[in-house]
Amino acid sequence: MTQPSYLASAPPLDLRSIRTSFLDKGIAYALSFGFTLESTGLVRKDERSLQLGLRAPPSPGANDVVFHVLGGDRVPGLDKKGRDLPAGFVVKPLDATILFHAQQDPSLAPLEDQELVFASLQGRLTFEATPSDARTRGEKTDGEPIRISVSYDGTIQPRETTTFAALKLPPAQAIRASAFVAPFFETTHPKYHWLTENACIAYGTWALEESGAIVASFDVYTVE
Amino acid sequence: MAAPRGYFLDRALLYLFSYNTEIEHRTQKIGIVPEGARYNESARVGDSRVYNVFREKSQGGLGPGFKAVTGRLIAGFDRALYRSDDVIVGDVQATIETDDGELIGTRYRATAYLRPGGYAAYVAGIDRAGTENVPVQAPIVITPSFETQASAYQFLVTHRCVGFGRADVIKSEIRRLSYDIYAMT
Repeated sequence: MTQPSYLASAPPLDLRSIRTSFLDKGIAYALSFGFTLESTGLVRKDERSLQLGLRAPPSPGANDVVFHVLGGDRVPGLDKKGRDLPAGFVVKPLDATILFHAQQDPSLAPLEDQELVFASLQGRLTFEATPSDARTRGEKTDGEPIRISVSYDGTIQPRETTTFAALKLPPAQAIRASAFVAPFFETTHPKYHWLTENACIAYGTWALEESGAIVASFDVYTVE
Repeated sequence: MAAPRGYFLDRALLYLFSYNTEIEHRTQKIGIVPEGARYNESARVGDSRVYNVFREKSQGGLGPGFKAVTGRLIAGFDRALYRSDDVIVGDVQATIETDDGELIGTRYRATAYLRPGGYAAYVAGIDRAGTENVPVQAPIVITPSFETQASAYQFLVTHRCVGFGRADVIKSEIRRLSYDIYAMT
């Protein structure tokens, strides 16, 4: 490919003045959470992708809760000063959309025969304090439970080779994947505002179960 | 309720590439909006570089056939929102042209924390952090995703990435950004 005309006058790259060391990076465990979603249907978007719509189930799943993997409700945080995590909050998913992609090469093979390479996902959910949680009861004076809004987007990668033919509702066999997302937290509550002050990343497991439900679990890290 | 998972999930970061970008001095100060204060900033395209810290020609860790990403930014624009809770949230779009002429688009959110009271001090013009001789270095983290049709760089499309960055700040204005981009694996 030839260089575009608008770059014709740009100076050549001089790498001699550019750094040869990495920037410092900080990463600290923040919290873990799980959620369950119901599938609403599969829609073919184009020749190479299939969209799975999702919605919240009528009642939360057994693992739809915020927790600390090692127990407790405090984490050191990036600055090691100690932070409260919203342990025990119920996770209430709102919705999510997943777009499964085939390989970039537009081969002549029908989509059903192509390998499912990865999927992009985005969704929204809420962490909500439960009235029975004595630790948080009474912290808001207006009677409303404390809520933390979470929006996320990222990718999932199947753990085993899977074709689009296996992607049905419900699937004959569960499809399991690793998930990598960037969650974005919003809250005005001072106890949990630290979650909004840093970018976060989350590593997770994701599965489309034989029942057609999505079951996911994530570990969230704050990064600096 | 079932007992929560008692172990951490696997996590790793794979270094992909780095980039530096100079920021245009003429920040578009949109001003106070309902969510905070909006500032639009552009990259100085000719001075922006995309490179590999190791000067590698291929992308390690993904097997053979994956090219290292080197080139330059040919477009970059940030709609930065200085929120009243002292957090800066950037909405960035940029385009990389690689040395072999391929185009890679990216869009991402950037997050940085000012300090308690930082928003009020910034919009009032009280904060004047950093000088020409001694810029303040502030950490900024981005979570980019990439788009390209180039087969040599498809690994960028299939991975979610995180960028650890530093901003050189002069008189409370960002003048240069430098990032190391890693893939979450």
